[in-house]
Amino acid sequence: MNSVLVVEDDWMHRDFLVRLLQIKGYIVRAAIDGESAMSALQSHVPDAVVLDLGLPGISGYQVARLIRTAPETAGLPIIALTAYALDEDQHRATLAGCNAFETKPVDLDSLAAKLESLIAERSARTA
Amino acid sequence: MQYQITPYALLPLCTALISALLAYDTWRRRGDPASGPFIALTFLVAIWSFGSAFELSSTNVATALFWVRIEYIGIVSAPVAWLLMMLAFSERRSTFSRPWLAFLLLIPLITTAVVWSGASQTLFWTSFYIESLTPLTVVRTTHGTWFWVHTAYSYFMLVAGTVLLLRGLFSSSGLYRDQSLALLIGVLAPWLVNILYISNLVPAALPDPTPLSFLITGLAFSWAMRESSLFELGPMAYREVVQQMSDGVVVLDTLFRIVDINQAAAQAIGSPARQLIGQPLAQALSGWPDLVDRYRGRLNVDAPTNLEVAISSADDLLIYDLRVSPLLSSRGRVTGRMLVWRDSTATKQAMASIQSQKERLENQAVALQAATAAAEAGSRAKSLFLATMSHELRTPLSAMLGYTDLIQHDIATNDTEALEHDLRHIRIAGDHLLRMIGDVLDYAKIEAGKMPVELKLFDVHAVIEAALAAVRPLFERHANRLELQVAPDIGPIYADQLKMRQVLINLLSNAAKFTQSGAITLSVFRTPGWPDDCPIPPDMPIIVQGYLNLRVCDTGIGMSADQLEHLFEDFTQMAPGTSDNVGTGLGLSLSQKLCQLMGGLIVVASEPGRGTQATMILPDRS
Repeated sequence: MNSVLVVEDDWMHRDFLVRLLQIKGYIVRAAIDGESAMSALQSHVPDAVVLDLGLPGISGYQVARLIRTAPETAGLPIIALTAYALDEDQHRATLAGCNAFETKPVDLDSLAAKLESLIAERSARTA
Repeated sequence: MQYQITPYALLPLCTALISALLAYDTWRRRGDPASGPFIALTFLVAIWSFGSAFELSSTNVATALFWVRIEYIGIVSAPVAWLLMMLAFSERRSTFSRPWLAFLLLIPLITTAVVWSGASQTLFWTSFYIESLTPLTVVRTTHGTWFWVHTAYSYFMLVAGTVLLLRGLFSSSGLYRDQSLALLIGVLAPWLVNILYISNLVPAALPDPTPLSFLITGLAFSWAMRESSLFELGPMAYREVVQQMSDGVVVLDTLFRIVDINQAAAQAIGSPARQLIGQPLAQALSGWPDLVDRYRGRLNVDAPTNLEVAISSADDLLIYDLRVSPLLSSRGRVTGRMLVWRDSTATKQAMASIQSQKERLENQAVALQAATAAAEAGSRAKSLFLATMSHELRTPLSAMLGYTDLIQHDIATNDTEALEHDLRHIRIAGDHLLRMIGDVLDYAKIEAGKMPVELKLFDVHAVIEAALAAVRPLFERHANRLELQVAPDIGPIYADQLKMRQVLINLLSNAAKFTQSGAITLSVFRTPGWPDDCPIPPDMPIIVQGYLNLRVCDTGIGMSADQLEHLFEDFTQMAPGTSDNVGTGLGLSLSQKLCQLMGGLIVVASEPGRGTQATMILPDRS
C-alpha cells in the first residue's frame, strides 16, 4: 500500500481528505502546517505529498522547496492544493517544485488519478 | 546809376551765385532740421554778396549807398541765421519759437531800419564817400554808434554759434572724422577770414571777404549734410527713433536734472517735454513721491544697471523694466545718466499667466497620474477581491463537496455514525458560507454608506459571553487556553450590540486561528481617555465619558511590520482556509469598519513569533 502525507491547515479539509484517501486505499498521515509536515517527513518518507499552498507560517511553496532540497525527499511526488484557481498560482507551484495541481473544491477522482500515475511514474524511474 | 566793370566784383558775384544755388538746392530738398537756417544763411549770404558785387561796381555815392543798404539786409541777419544753424546742428532743434526768433532778430531789424533810414547818416555812418583809386572807385565809411552795436551783436552771434557747435562736436561720439573736419572748417572759416581782415592782412582795395567765409561755411556744412548724409540719416534717424519709440527715454545730468526726454517719457510723466527739460527728476516725478524715494540711491550708478520698478496706481500695478546707463566723458567721468524704461506689465502678466497655466497643466498631469494610479490600484483591488472571494467561497464549498463524497461512501458502507458526522460538517461549512455571504453584504452596505447602526444600552457581559460561546469550538480545536480579565462592575454600554459581538468574535477567532496550544487573554476595561498604550489616531474625536476597551492578546505566530501595515486593507490579509466555525473571510477589514461605525477603532500591535494584541476601543456613550 502506498502512503500519502496530507498537509492541510483547514481542519475540515484535513478531515475529509484523509478519510477519502484512506477509502481509496492509501495509508494517510496528516500535518496541520509546514513545520509539522517537515518533521513528519523526517520520521517517515511517504510515496507522495498532497500539499495545501495556503499554510500559515511556512507557506506551501516553501514546504515544496524544502522537500526538493532534502536528498531523501527530493524525488517525492507533490500535488499542490489551493482554493486560488488562477494560472499564476499554478505556475508558482510548479516553480516551487510541485508535480501536479488540484484546485479546491477537490475532485477526488482526479486527485486519486494524479496520485496513482505520479507514484507509478516514480517507481518506474527508480526501478 | 553809374557802374564800372571791375574784376573785383567777380568774387562776390560768384559767391552770390553759388550761395543762391546752394539755397535753392537745399530748399528743394529741405527736411533736415538744419535746412531752414541753412537756407536762410546761404540766401542772406547771396544777398550780401550780390550787393557787394554791385557796390564794387558803383561809381557814385547814391548807387553805392543803395547797394550797401541791400548788402546790409544780408549782413545784419546772416549772423543770426548762422547761430540758428549751429543750434540746429548741435542741438538738433528744427523749430524755433516765434518770441525767440523775434528776440534774436530785434537788433538786426533795428539795424536794417537804421541803415535804410535817414538816421543812418548819424547813427551808422558818420561819413560815407567814394574814394577814387586808380583804376576803380571804392566806398569808404566811418562808423557811428549803432554800427558798433550791430558789430558787437554780430560777433556775439558768431561766438555763440561757434561755442555751440564745437561743444556739440566734442561731445558727440557718433560722428565720422571727415564730417567733424568739414564742420570744423565751416565754423572756423568766418573767424579766420575775420582775423585776416581785422589785422589788415587783406588789401584794403579788396572787397569784404566775410560773405566768402560764410560761403565756405555753407559749402562745408552742405558737404557734411549731403555727402555724408550726416543729419539726414544718422543722428537725425537716431533722434527720430528715440523720439518716436514707445520706451521712455530720459537723459539726466549729474545733478539728476532732465537734459532730454522723449515723447513717451514725457507722456508717461504727463507734462510736455519742453516743460520737463531742466527740471530735477524728483520734481518732474513729484506725482510719485514714494517712487523717487525708493529708487533715489539706485539711479546713482557708474555702470549700466537694470531695475524692475513697480508702480501701483488706483486699480492697477504697473511693472517697468528700467535700464540706467551712465554717460561717460572721453576721460571716463560720469557726465550724466540715461534712463530707458519699458512697460513690462503685459509681458510680466503674460509670463505669469503662462507660468500659472504651466502649473495648472502640471497639476492636472499629476492629478491624472494619481487618478490613473488610483484606477489601476482600484482595478488591482478588484481583481484581488475577486480572487479572494473565489478562494473564500471555494473553501467551505470544497468541504461540502468533499463530505458529500464521503457520505456516498458512508451510505454504501451503512456507516451511520460517519454519516451523522459528515452531515454535521456539511452543515458547519454551509453555515460558514452563509455567514461569509452575509459579511460580503455587510461590506457592500458599509461601502455604500447604507449600514444601519442600532445604538442601545446593553450589558457588556452579555456580549462577552455570546462571543466566547461562538469561538469555544475553535479554541478547543487549536488547543488554546482562554484567560478572561473582566471587571465585575464593567456595566452597560451604549453601542450597537450585534456589531460589537461580531467584531469581538472576529478578534477572538483570529487569535485562536493563529495560535496553537497557546493562551488567549480577553481583558475588558474602561479608560477615562484614549488608552495610553495605543497610538492615538489623528481623526478621533475626544469623548469625555471615556472608553470601553476589549483587548485580545494571543501567544501565536504574530505578524511582521509589513503584515501589520496592510492588516486593515480590504481582503489583503486573511486567514488561509477558513471553514472554521467562526470568523469569516473579510476579517479585520470588516471589523474595523464596523467598529468605526460605532465611533471606535481597532488597534493592533504584533511581533512575529511573540503574538498579537488587538484592542477594540469603543467610546462610552452611556
